[in-house]
Amino acid sequence: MFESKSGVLLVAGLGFFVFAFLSNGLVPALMYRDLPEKSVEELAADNSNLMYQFEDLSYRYPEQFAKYYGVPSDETLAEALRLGRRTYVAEGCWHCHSQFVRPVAREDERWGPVSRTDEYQNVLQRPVMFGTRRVGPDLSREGGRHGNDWHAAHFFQPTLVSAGSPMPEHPWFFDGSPDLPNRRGIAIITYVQWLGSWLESYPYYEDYEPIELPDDDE
Amino acid sequence: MRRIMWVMAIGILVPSLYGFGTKFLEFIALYRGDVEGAFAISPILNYLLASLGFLCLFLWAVLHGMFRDVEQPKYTMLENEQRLDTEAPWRPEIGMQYPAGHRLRMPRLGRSTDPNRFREFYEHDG
Amino acid sequence: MIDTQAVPPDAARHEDLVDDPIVVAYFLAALCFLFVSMLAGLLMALQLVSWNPLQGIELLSPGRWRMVHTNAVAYGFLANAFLGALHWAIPRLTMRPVLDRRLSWFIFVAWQVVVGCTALGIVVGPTLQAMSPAWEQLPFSFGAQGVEWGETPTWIDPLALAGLLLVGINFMAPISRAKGPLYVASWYFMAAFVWTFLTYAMGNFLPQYWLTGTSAGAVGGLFIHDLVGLFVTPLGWGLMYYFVPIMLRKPIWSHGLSLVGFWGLAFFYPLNGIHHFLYTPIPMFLQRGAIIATIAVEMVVFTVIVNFFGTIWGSGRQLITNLPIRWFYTGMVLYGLTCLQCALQTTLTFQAVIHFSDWVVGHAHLVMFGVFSLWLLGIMTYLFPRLWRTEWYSRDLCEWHFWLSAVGVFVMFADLTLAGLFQGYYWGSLRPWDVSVDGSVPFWMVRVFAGLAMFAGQLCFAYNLYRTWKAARLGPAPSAAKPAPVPQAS
Repeated sequence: MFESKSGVLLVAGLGFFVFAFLSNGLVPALMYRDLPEKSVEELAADNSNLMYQFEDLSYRYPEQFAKYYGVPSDETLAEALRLGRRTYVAEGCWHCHSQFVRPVAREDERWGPVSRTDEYQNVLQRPVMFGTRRVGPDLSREGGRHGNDWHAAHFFQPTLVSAGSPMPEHPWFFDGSPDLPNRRGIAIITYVQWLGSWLESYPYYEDYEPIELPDDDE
Repeated sequence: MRRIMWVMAIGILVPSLYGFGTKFLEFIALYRGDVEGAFAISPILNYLLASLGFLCLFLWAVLHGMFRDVEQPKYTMLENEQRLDTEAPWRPEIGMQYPAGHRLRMPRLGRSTDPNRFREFYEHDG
Repeated sequence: MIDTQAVPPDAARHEDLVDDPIVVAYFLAALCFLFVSMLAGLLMALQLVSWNPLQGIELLSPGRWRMVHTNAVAYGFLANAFLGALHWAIPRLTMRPVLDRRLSWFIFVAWQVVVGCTALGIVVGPTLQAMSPAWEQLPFSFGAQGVEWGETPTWIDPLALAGLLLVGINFMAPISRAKGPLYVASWYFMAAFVWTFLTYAMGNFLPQYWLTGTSAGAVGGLFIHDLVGLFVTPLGWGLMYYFVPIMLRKPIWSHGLSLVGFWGLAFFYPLNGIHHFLYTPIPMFLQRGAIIATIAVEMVVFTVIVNFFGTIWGSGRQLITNLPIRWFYTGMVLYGLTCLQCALQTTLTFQAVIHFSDWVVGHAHLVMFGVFSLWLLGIMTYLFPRLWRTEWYSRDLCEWHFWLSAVGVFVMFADLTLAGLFQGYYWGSLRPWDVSVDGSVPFWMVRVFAGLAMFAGQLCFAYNLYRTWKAARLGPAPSAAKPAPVPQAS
């Protein structure tokens, strides 16, 4: 068994790998199997915070918006989110920005509420964008923190609005100047504005205090 | 050699046993603490059971005559290798043996390639 | 293909077993990708200290080249160099050639296509896709995939997987034909072929097509860790078990102990993955289990290190005179350091401070360059003169290659580890984010120069290699060709 080749192949190669996969990979999948996975359309449909930002983009950059997306609607918002996420992955944003707030190191005081599983249960987190390194800040509570103009200028040339920022410039998100975001530019801004927009504490994440509502029963 | 080995073995074993012991006590405390505790030790139980199964397989293998001569392959491998090298078209030292006491100095680039420049190294090595 | 029945294994000669040109081809391809990777790393390092002279060019985006940096190292440099070394080691270990030499060459070409397409996809893919709205409507991205260490675009994944399967088949033929109890190196190789295939399939397909969110994160963690632990580590140690005894001309200290190392690694290593995502919403009991398994694997690793130091015991002088041995043992010392660091940094206590910081980056460089690249460069230092039948052009360049690489990576590791601690405490102190960036800049400066030293080391190697090749073209040099009396090095 242990000196034979089939033993090495079956026990060490296959057996231990499968054991590890079952006990570490499959367990969370089974635990969360009842949490529904939201599609992009569902994410776009009932999110007034995000729709507000998307419409704001169409007012600020009317020609560009009309050229690339037409009018703001649930469908075009879903389209922008999808392309935004794709761009976020393809440009490697996730290697310098994380998307989870940990329950330690006073992160909830800096960023806002600690991340929960259900926040990640949607198609835009497939594969999940936990991130690996924070050269720049965590982005999971970034939506609504800055205006769309700030983001446009920041993507065009980060040092315009954030002195000393080591973030690379992304002029290819624009048709030549920061007030002309192109298809990818509008998409990536929409995606960043989406992050955290589903939370009740949006957009005052870390300073948010829930208001005591009068009891419904009375 | 043997004494150093013992010192090393104790030096590694004592702190690691201590570490495992305290972790284990921590887990027992966790287990007794609350309902979640039972969950916390489930991977440990899982791993213990799996390694127990592995141990049984191992004992079975020993009883069936494996590991009679566990050190043999390392000699066979070395013999094969030396035989291959004696028939190979290169000297056994090529690419690895250099004289001791060679001082690190700036490389002189562009010097002509003298095929005999390493001969002295080998002859000193004998 | 050479019929193994025609050549009795006991009478096999090197020429029957090893296809020298393919070893050379793999090594040269590996070095090409190493240069690509190092240039990409340099670009990112310059970007971080705001010295990037190529700012704002889409195809030179540091974000994209950062992914090329890691992928070129993992799949371009390490995989190619491993395959080259395996084409030497496995036939000589088993005394049998690989399944088919034509298949070897096919795999070689296919693998370069895979790695080339990965780089091309990551760099050019997004630009190309943005050119036509029809392409943007496609359900998949031309560019990177969102899995760390698996950024290989989704459209290449099946090809890469097929390549890994062929590699396994090609090498399993000689191993399966070998008789008698196998030497430990073969165990590592066999297991690695299975593991690499399974790991690649798991990491590139499951989080992309079947799993979402947190559960995808758990599988992603397994993938990141298994890629290091079940692809790079077993091949690396397997090659060490092969090359160290033959260079020291004495057997490994204890073959029995090496089996403890193998089975311990096989059992505990796959259980570690989730320690990459501590404090995430992944269930806490799984995180604790991963931490325990990690600490267990570090103990197993120490048995392996003890075994190798037991082997060199009494031949310590070889560390000075034998250059490849020096590469190997430097790598092993750094490996011990890595594992010590590992056992500490995966605990929740350390993670609270260092997660997401440059500490992790330092650790990754120490493992990938400080251990496995040093071993592979040592193997190349040993094998190129044999493959080309001539000594190295310059001993001094070999020394410079070693010292610049080893010192460079150590400085980078120490610098980034320290930077990580500073960053962790800056963040925890809740001072503005810019403070942590400004505080990191001095460390990033040091990192640029450490990286330049490593790069300079590889330039020395490349030049040395070029001159050695030129000398080899003139025919085997008399000093390298075998003379009648061989002065045996003791």
